[in-house]
Amino acid sequence: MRRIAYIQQIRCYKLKFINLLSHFRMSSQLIGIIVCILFISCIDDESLIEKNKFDIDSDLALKAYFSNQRGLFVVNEGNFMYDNASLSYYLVDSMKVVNHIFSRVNGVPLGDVAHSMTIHNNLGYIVVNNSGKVYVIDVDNLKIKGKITGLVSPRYIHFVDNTKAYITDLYAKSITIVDLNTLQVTGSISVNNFETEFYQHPTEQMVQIGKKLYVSCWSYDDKILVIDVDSDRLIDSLTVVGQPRSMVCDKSGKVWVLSDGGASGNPFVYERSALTRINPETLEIERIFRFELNDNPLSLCINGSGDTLSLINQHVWQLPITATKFPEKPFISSPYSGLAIGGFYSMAVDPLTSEVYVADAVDNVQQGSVYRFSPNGIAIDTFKVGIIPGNLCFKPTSK
Amino acid sequence: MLKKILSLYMVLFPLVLFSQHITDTIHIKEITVHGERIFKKENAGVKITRIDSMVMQDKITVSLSELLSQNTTVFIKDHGRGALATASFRGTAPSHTQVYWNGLTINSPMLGMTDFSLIPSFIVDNMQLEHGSASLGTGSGGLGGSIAIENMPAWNNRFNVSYRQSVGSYDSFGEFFQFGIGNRKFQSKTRIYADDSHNDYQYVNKAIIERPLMKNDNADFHKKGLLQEFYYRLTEKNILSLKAWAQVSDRSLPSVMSYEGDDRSNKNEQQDSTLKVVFDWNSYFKYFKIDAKTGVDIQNTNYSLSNFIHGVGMFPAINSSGKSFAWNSHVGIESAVVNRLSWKTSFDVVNYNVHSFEAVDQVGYDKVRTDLSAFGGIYYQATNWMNLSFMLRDQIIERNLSPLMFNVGASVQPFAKKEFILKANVSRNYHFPSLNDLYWQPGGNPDLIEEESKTVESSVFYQLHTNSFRCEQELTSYYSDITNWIIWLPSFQGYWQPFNLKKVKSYGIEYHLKLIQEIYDFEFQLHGNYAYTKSLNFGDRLFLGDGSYGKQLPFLPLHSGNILFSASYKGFYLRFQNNSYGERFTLSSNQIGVSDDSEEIGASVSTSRLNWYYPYYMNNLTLGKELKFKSLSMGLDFKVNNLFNEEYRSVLGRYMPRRNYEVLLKIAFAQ
Repeated sequence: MRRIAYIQQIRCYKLKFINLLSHFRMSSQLIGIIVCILFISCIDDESLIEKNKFDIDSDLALKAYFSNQRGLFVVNEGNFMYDNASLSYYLVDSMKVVNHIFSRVNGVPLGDVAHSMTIHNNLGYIVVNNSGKVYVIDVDNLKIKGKITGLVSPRYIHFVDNTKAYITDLYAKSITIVDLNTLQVTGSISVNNFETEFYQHPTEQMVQIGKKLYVSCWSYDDKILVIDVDSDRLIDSLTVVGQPRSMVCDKSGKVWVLSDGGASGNPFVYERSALTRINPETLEIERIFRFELNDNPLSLCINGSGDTLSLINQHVWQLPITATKFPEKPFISSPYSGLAIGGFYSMAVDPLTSEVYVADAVDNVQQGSVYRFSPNGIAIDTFKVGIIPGNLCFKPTSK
Repeated sequence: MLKKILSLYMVLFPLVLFSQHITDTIHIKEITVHGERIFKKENAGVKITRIDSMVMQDKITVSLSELLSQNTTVFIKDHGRGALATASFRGTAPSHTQVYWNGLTINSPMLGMTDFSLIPSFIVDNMQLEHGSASLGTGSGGLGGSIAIENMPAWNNRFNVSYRQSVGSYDSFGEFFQFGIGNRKFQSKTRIYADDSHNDYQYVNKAIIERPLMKNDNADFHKKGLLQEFYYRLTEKNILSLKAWAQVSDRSLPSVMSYEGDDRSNKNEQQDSTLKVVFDWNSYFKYFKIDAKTGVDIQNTNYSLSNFIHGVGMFPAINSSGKSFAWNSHVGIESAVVNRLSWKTSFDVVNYNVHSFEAVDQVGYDKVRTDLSAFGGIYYQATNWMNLSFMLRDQIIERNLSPLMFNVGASVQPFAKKEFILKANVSRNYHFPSLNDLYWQPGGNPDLIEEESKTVESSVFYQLHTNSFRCEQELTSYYSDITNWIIWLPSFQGYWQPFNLKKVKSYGIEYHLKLIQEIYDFEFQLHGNYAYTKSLNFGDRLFLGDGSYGKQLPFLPLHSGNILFSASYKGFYLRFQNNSYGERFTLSSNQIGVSDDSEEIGASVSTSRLNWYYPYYMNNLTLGKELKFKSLSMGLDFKVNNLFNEEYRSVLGRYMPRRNYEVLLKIAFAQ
C-alpha cells in the first residue's frame, strides 16, 4: 500500500515536471543558449602567449636574417600598470620589423613600463621599471640569459667594467650595484640628501669619464652627482638648470646635459629649459642654450663620431658641439606643429651611419611608429612598433 | 488581487501617485511588486529599468559593481575583487553614468565618475536605471544614463532585526546588521555593515619565466559603514525624512603580475571615506506635490605608493589626496489638475568645494563652484493609447548658461487589452567637464567645453501575466552621436592634457527578459539581459598612422549578456548566475596580435594576443534554504563563484580568482 502511494507520488511529481517543462517550451531556445554557454566556456590563458615560439637559432631563414645585419631594438614602455611593455626589433638593411619579439622568443611578457635597454658584451639589459627588474638577453637570439630582480624603480643600467654595473632608480634614493657574473645585487650607493621638502635624489642617466661617473637627477631636482667608480662613493655634485634628464659625452670629453626646467605649477622649479655643456674636470658650466618657458626638450643624443648633438623639442634639432648659437630652424619638423598634442617621443642616431630614428607614441594606446631619416633629414622608412616607444638601442654588427 | 497589488504599489511609490490617499494596511514582506503601471505618461518614450527584488536579494552581500555587471546591461570595468570598478552605460565613458543616492548626485566632482565597488548592495532598497535620455528627468550629464539608488520607509513595520554573516574563500568576511523600529507616524531603520577580505588567492604566475605559484598579495580590502534613516509623518500628507550614510574603506592594490622588484616596495594603498546626509520633505496637496531636499556629500580619497628606502624605511613616492564637499539642494513640484496632463518642474543648486593635493610633488588645486540646474517636463495623455512627454533642462555653471537639453518622447499602446507598448524618443544632453579635467595640476584645461550627445531611441515592451506566469520583455535600440568627448592626450609639454577632440558614435541594442513561473510549490524565475554595444571613435585623425578611426573604444565588449535563473521550492532555492562578454580590445586600434602590419616578419603566423581579452564566461551557483518559525526566519546559503574554475582577466596584468566559495547565514526577526 505504502509502495503504491509512493509510486503515485512519484508519478505526480513526474506530471508536475512535464507540466513545468511545457510552460517553459517558449523559452526552450533560451535554455539551449544557456547550455551552449556552459559548454563553450573554456578560457585558455595560454592563448595570450605565443605557442609557436620564435626560435632564431633553429629557423635558418631567421638566423640568416638576424646574424647578417645590424639591428635596432625599440623598447616600448606599454601602459602603466597594464603589463604590456614590449620589445621590437628592426633590421636596418632589409628594413623589416619584428614586434613583441621578447615575448615571442621567451613565452613571457616583458613586463610593465620597459624603460631602457643597453648592450654590453653581446648581452642586452632591458630595464623594466614598474616590474622592478632588469632582463638580460642574448642579442643574437633574444633568449633570456638571466635577470636582476629586487629593484625598486629602476631606470638605466651602466657598465663600469666587465664585472660591475650600476642601476639608477627613480625612488630608491640610491644607485644599485650589480655583479655582472652572478646578476646579484651586491650593494648600493646612497644618494639620499635627507632633503625633507622634495623627493631627492631620483637618479636617471649616467655618463662615465675615466673613474668618474656623472649621474643626472631629474624629477624635482637640479643636481649632477659625481661618483667614484672604484670606491662606489658619491664624491661631488653640481647644480644645473632644473630637472636635468638626458646626458651625453662628446668627443672632446665634455658632458652635455638637457634639462626640462619643470612644468607650470612645479613648486621646485619652473624655468626655461636648457641644454648645458659641463666641464667634467672643473664641474663648471661652460655653455647654456636656453629654450622657451614651457618647452619640454628631451632625448638628447650624439652621433658616432661624437661631434653632433640631436634632441627633440617638439621638432628634431641638430647642432655641432662647437655651436655658439642654437640653430633657428629644426632639422626635422614635427607633423604635429600647431597642435598641442605630443608627437615625437624619443630618438636615436645610428652611431655608424648617423641616420636619425624618431619614435612617435601616437595616442599612447595603440602601436607607435618609428620614422627613419637619412643623415640629411630625408625620410627613408616608417615602421610600426609597440605601445609608447620610449627608448631605442642599436645592436652592433655580429661578429 | 489586482486591487491589492495596486494599493501596494501606492504604498511603495507614494511619490508618484501623490494626490491619492496613502494606504498602509498591507503586509509588505514577501510580496513582490507585480502590478506596476507600465503605460505612464510620465515615462512616455523613455526607458527605466527597476532592479528586481529577487536580484537585490541575491546580491545583498556584494557591491553594486557585481550587481550591475551580472544583472543589467551596464558594462563594468573591474580592476579586481574589491578594486576600482567603473561603469560604461551604452558604450560611454565612466563619467557619462550619473549616480544618485536618494536624489543627491554622488559622482565624484573631481573625477566625474563613481567607483561602484564602494557601494554595497546592502544599503539599497530600490534601484533603477534610467537609460539614455530618461536620466534628463533627474539631472544632466547621463549621456549613457543614470543609476538611482533609493531608501524607502516600510510604514507597517513595528519592529524588525536581521543579521547576515558571510564567510568566504581568501579570508573574506561580511557582516550585515539591520534594525528597524517604528509605527505609522515614525520609522527608524539602521544598517551597519563590515566587509573584509585578505583576497590572497593563489595563482600560477605566467608573467614570470619560472611560472611560480604565487599569492595575490597586497590586495586586501576592508569596508565598514552605517546607514541611518528616519521617517516622520508630520501629517497624513507631509512626510519628513533624514538619511545619513557613512562609510570608510581601505584597500591595497597589488603590483602587476610581472613585478619582481623589492618585496617591501611598490605598495599601493587607497583609502576612501564618505559621509552623505539628506533631509527630505514631501508634501502632498490636492493637485500637486512638493519635494524639497537638501543634503551634503563629503568624499575623501587618499592614494599612496610607498617604497622601502635603505636607512629610512617605508617612504611615500606618491601621496595624493582629494577632498570634496558638495552641498546639494533641490525643490521639485509635480502637478496634475486633470488626468490627461501633468507637469513637473525642479530646481537644483549644488555647491562644490574641492581640495586636491599631491603631497610628494606638492601640486594640486582648490576650487569652489556652484552649479544651478532647472528642469521642466510636460506629460500628456493624448489618447487612451498614446502618451507624450517633453522635458527641458538647463544648467548654469560658473555664470555660463549651457545650451538647452531636451527630450521628446512618445509611447503607444496599440492594443487596449495587451500590455504591448512601443516607445521612441529624441534627445540632446550635455556632460560638463569634471573639476580634474578643468583644473588638474599639471595639465588641467580650463578651456574645455561640455560634451554633447544627440540620441534617438526606440523600444518595444511586452508584458504578460496570469496567476502563475509572468513574462516581461523589452527590446531597445539606440543611436547616440557624442561630440566634444574629452580625451586626455600627452602634450608636447611633457604632461597629459584633456582636449575636446573625440567624437564617438555609440549605438546598439538592449534586450531584457524576465520570466516568472509558479507551479504548485515551485517558483522559477529567469532574468536575462543582452546588450550589443558599438561604440566607435570617429574623432579627427590627429596622428600619423592613427589606426583608431572607426574602431571600437578599448575595453568595451561588442556582446555582453547575463542570466540569473532561480528555482525555489518550500524554502529551498537554487540560483544560477551567468555573466558573459565577448572579446575586448585594449588598444584604440583594436589590434589583437603582434602587429597590424602583415608585412612584418612572422606577424601572420604569430599567435600572441597580448593586447586582447578573450571572451569571458563567468558562472556562479547558490544553494540555500530558508526556515520560518512565526516571526523568526533563518536561512543558510552556499555559494560557488566561478563555478567552472575559469582562468580569466578583467584588466591586463591582473589575475582573477579561480573557483571560490561563500557561506551566508541569515537570521531575521520581525514583529
